[in-house]
Amino acid sequence: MAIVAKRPIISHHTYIIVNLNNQGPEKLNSNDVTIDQLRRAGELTKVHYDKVAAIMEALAAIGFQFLAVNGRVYAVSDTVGAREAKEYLLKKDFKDTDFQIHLEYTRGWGMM
Amino acid sequence: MKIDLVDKWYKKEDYWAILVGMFLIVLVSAAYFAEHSSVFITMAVNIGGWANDLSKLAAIVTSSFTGLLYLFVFFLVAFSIGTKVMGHSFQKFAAGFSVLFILSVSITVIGANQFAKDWQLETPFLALLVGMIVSNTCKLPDWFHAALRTEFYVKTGIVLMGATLPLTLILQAGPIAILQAAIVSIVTFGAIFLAATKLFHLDPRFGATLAAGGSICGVSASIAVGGACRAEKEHVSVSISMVIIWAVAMIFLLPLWSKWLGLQPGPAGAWIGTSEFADAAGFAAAQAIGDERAVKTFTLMKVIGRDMFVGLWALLTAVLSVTVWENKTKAEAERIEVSEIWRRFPKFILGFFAASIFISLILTHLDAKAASQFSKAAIGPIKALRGWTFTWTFLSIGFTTRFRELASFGWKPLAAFAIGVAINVPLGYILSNMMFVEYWLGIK
Repeated sequence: MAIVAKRPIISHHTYIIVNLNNQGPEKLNSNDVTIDQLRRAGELTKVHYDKVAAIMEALAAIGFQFLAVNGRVYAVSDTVGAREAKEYLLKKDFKDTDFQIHLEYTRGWGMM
Repeated sequence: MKIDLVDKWYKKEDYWAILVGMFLIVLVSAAYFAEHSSVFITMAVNIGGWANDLSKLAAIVTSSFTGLLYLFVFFLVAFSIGTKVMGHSFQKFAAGFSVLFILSVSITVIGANQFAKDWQLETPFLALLVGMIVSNTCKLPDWFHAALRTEFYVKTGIVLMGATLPLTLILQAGPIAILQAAIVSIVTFGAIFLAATKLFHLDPRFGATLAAGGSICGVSASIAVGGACRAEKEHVSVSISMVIIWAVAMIFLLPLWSKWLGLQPGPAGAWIGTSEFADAAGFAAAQAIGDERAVKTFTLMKVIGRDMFVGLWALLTAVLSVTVWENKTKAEAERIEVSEIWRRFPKFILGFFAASIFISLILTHLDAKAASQFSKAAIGPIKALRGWTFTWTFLSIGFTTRFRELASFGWKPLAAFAIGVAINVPLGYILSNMMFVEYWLGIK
């Protein structure tokens, strides 16, 4: 049985979210911070930001747009699906724990 | 593409339904205490029954004219403001709503005729039938489509419904509604999901989306769970198509079966609340029973028992989707936040509770006589106005259910969904009319 769709029943937005804040395994304690801890935190932060930039670069190649809000980078697309984006990032050697995905569907044509 | 990352509340239908509903409730209540209820009593038009006497019909329409004008202007302004702020064309909506309003009055007048009543063609069915016949045979103009905002009207109606359900009733019946809904939702979800994945070997995300549509709250659940577990867009579309087809069928079947089986209105409404798939369709079915008790028990079952928990289901399927369905441990998997529950929660339900709390607080401060007067002069009009929002809902369902435009679907999703329906409907009947019947009979 097949009735072919003429109008989209739903639309979608795929959001890939990456945290910018990454204090690493050694959390800085304001009462007891050392110079070495600070240097190490800076190195880890650079590594983390490089990874975020690499994720953004990969997603930009498939049409995502970006913005940063409250310490997070949001990559947004209304053409690429969530699973498609995830498989693409995993193939680029990123890990599941490097990002979060939100997928929002919105109903169309005023339906119930 | 302009990115609207954080959906501002004033861009969402749920919050506008709360605003319009609560504004009306507060206004009606304030008017009562200011001894200016007459405007709203006039606006709360009830078209009386008539038979073959056209002069009586003319008298009914003439006497209702001022009220209909107030009704039209109030809701045109309220809905238009919301529609405009949400980013849609004010002119198109205003034009479309004007036609929708005229149609709703015509349908209500016809539905009040004795002949229509004898043939069970009262307003809800008539509105659906007229809408479906027209939309499936004619091309409707774009400006008319702009006013077919099914969800906006039904959510506003549900907020107004909250004002007619005392908080004590919700607290008393709520646990039973939640228990009954939990039994049916879990069993039905499991049945559809297992049929989809084990019998028909469909993708588990597709199975979960189908199962959510058939067990929780229809299209909203398909969308929420489909998004949470990252189902493919075409799978969500198919699930929505299944929900719409079965929901429309159940609008006619459930009231019919209820009448054949001689069910009391309370249990019949609870059965509809358990076995109907969408709020809008369920209100059509419950109103077709012809007794306010059916509408009350339907609301308790559907809104409190089922709709409220879609966020929890979304979280559960989200976790499953990144762990079990991707063969990953919790440590390896993508992080899912508990805030998913709030993100997917249907916010209009907050308006339903707010309305109930507001009216209940007023009633607790009145003595018995004053409470009775308030019920007559304030809650009575709210109930009538609620009825009109539901009529616009039923018309919108009819006009937007175009079978040719539903997504293509194979026999497997249909079969999986049908297995769920075959379990859900009898189970809902048993729970509503046997196991918990005393509770539902107690709802007055």
